[in-house]
Amino acid sequence: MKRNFLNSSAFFFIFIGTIFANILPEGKSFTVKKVEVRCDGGIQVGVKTQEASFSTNVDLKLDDFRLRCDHLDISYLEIEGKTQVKSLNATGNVICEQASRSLKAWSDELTYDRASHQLVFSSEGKTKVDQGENNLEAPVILIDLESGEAFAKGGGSIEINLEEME
Amino acid sequence: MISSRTSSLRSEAFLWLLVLFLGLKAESSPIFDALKGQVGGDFHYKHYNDEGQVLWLIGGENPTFGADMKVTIQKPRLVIVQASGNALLTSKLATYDTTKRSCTLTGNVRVKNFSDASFEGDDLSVRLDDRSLNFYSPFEARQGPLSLKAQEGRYFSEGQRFQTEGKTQVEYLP
Repeated sequence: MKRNFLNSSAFFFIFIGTIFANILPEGKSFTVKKVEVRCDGGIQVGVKTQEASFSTNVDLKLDDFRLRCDHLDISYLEIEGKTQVKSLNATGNVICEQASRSLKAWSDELTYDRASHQLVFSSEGKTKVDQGENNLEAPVILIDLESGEAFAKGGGSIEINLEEME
Repeated sequence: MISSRTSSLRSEAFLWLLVLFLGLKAESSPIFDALKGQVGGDFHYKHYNDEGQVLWLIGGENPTFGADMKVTIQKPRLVIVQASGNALLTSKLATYDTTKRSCTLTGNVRVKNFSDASFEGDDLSVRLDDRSLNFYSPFEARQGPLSLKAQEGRYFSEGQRFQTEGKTQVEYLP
């Protein structure tokens, strides 16, 4: 049983909040565990400035989370001996996947900022997120990792399989 | 007789090289460099900073001195003296260019403890002017839990900057 909703923010909150609350390790921030990054255009790393840039066909794998994009900038910091992502900016043909949750997202840009605990998918056209038979589309989808709430900006659509939610 | 004459020519070439090299350095750079060696024996070169600390020590066996200001060393070993400790660089062969102040290492290049990082590759150029390591062919690097493979790359000791070109793979394994 499927229903379509337009600009239904309540469902956006439930849907996105449920999807992304557990994507990121520790729920609220990126904590670097086992990471593998491949790219075709080389990297630039500033050990002192704690910044890294990856170019051309970037493919990042963090456990079963996978991010592909054209260009990726990461700044990181050390907190109590652990390397944590301070901010992240992925641009160009951004595709996020998490196999264990059948999750896939497409956008032009993805940004993460540790200070605001916000994850933002944005596109000139539509950002699209699929989880199984559920999917949603909107130009900008902002996820507040602190509260677990998500906000969709601009017109969008959501399609939820209610049988799955039961 | 021929062998003796060849050896004598080499000695003269080396002395000329040494005088010219030290003369050039005295005029062009406040950093004092010292070059010492003997034909058919050992060779070493020391590069000092303004405070008189040894930044680089390049050593090896059986040096060959070319008139184009290049010294080719077999079984080379390079030690970089840094605040964080000593780095060791080894390879089958090294050519030190006194004019460019760079050293090219070829064949099983191994770099250990360079700014807490280790490198492996087949071709490495060590530039003394900007204190950089330059890999012009595929290489691997490790620094703590990070490992890296790339087609080309360079590491700048100043600022600890690192960059690669072409296909690159980075792994973080805590």
